Amino acid sequence: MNLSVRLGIRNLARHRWRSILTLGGVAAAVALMVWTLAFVDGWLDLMVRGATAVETGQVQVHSRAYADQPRVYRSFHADDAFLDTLTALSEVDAAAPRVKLAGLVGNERTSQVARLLGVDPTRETETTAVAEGVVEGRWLSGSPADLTRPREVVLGRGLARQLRVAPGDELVVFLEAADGSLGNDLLQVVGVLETGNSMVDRGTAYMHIEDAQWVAALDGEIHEVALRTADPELAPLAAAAVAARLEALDGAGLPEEEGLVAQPWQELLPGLSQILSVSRESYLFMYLMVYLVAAVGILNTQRMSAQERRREFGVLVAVGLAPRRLLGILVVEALVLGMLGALAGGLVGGVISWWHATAGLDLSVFTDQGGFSYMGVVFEGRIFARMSAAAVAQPVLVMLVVAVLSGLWPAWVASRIEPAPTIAGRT
Amino acid sequence: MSEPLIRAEGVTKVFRQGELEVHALRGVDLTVGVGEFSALAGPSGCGKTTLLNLIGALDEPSGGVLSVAGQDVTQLARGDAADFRLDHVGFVFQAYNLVPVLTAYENAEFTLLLRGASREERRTVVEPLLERVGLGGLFERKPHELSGGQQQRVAVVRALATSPSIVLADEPTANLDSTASAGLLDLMLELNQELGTTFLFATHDELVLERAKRVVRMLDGRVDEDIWD
Ligand SMILES: Nc1ncnc2c1ncn2[C@@H]1O[C@H](COP(=O)(O)OP(=O)(O)O)[C@@H](O)[C@H]1O
Ligand SMILES: [Mg+2]
Repeated sequence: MNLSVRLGIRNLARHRWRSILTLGGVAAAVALMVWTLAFVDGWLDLMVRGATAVETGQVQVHSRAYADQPRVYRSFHADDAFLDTLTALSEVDAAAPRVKLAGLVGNERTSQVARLLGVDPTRETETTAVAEGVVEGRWLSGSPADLTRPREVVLGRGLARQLRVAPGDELVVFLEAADGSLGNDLLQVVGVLETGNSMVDRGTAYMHIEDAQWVAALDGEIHEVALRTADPELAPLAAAAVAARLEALDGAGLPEEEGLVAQPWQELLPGLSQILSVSRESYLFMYLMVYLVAAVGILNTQRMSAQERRREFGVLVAVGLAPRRLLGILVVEALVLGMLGALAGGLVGGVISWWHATAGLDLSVFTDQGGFSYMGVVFEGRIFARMSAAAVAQPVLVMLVVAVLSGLWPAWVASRIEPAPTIAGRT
Repeated sequence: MSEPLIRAEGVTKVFRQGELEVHALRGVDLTVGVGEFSALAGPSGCGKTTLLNLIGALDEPSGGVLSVAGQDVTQLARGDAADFRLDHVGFVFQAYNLVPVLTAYENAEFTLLLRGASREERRTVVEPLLERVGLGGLFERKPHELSGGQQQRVAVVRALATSPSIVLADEPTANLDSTASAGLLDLMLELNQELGTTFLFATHDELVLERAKRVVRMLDGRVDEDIWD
């Protein structure tokens, strides 16, 4: 074994308790960082899923004009064949066409401004998780209600509460149609939603896309196609693939300036995207805080250890150990200390993260309500950490660098030793 | 006559302690030839250790001429001084000679390791030497598991392993009882005769002076008497 490594390990063993304390500190720092990375990754995953899964989807297609500024008349034609061309792409798992309206919903007692989403119930269910949020009644049926009956509507729970309606109750909707006329219709509540997405829960009503097209005079046209992709992280790639396909389709027959655009959620929800990058930057701050403590521990230990071995170093330099080599030996010692601690910490942190990735972490640890809402996403029950090789390897590797840097100064001081007075005991 | 191993002419050494100047050496003239078994003697503070350190390039003289093994050692850079010591000088000190966490064998091979000798090369040199000084069977012992005399023997092996031009021993017996001292010194004398290695002691131990072939008595930083056996 290399002389430096041998000396490093044996000197650690020689001062067992001091080494255990330092190693413990280093290991704790690494374990904390591993767990933090895995937990924050899991948290961000959940946020992205919460924000995109219920309504947005991972990629959306609009007309260029609508993407610029949404207006009820900025619609485009999209038939089943068009949707199937999109889902034929390997990046796209499912596609849901939508009509997006704003209107006044109410009855004889009260009324509320609401977002109205006209959807294809089957395609919507394939694309988003909204139907899983039904807490009362049911989701929209496969096809629109008989024309003699009121149109089906599913309300977000907050909206249902404000209107004081339940499944079975009737409502009236008024809105501005695409041709500028006033559209109105009779609705019947068939279900109530609670999805964890506050935008949907507080002010959205879902109806059949044909009903929405009729009331808004859209003549079979839609505003939006929401797409589901497998990995939210890769949404920009999927958006690019979709854009290429749209290009090939020649904007679905629209003139150039009214062509279609595909945007990933990172563009559609810039706030969320920003939160993500800020969270990732905050790792840096966390590293700084946690590893500073470990660095001071290593530095102190190495300083003390070198101080105790002054005479030993004096003799070694006297018999021919070059100062530069002594410096190297002591830096390797610090690295050995950091490496043992970092590996232990990586192991412990990895096991804890793995546990939280598998079993999840009960959120009632943080709040007595057992959940909370952040950025329009409700966090409830359990949150799952995300284990990745990178989340374990990075804190370990950073610690090795920190160990070398903290060992450098004590090693430098020790290597400047004057052998003669040191051996004579004059210093 | 060929160039002596050590040639000192008018060597001075002044230590500065704040305002105070300590004249440790006030002009030392001395030559030491190859194969000598000699001792620097004299009262405490007369400059023995200082002179030995200058010869071993552990420190630089303030003035004078000093060459060791044909090399001017008056102005060596730190790294060069370390290399010079590794190539030409073996040291045995009074105490703390060995690395506590290394075994007797590992301590003994340390200088050869620094020279980059292979495991096999180290073994062929160190093993017989350790056997020779009576440490056969104690290779794996740590310094604290050895007696004071045994520790000094390990230091002697480490000093001799690189076949140095000279072994400098500063009070090597000061921490030993008389039996251990006598044993160590007899061994060093035998090695001097067997290997032809030059030994220079700094000591006031009578046991050393009895065995030395030449005693250089110092007084107040100068050579006072130079007595050949
Ligand atoms: N590094 C130093 N700083 C100041 N004075 C020193 C130093 N080294 C030695 N001296 C002084 O030099 C003189 C000679 O010391 P030394 O060579 O150790 O004597 P000896 O070995 O003969 O006992 C003494 O007065 C001692 O105090
Ligand atoms: Mg002395």
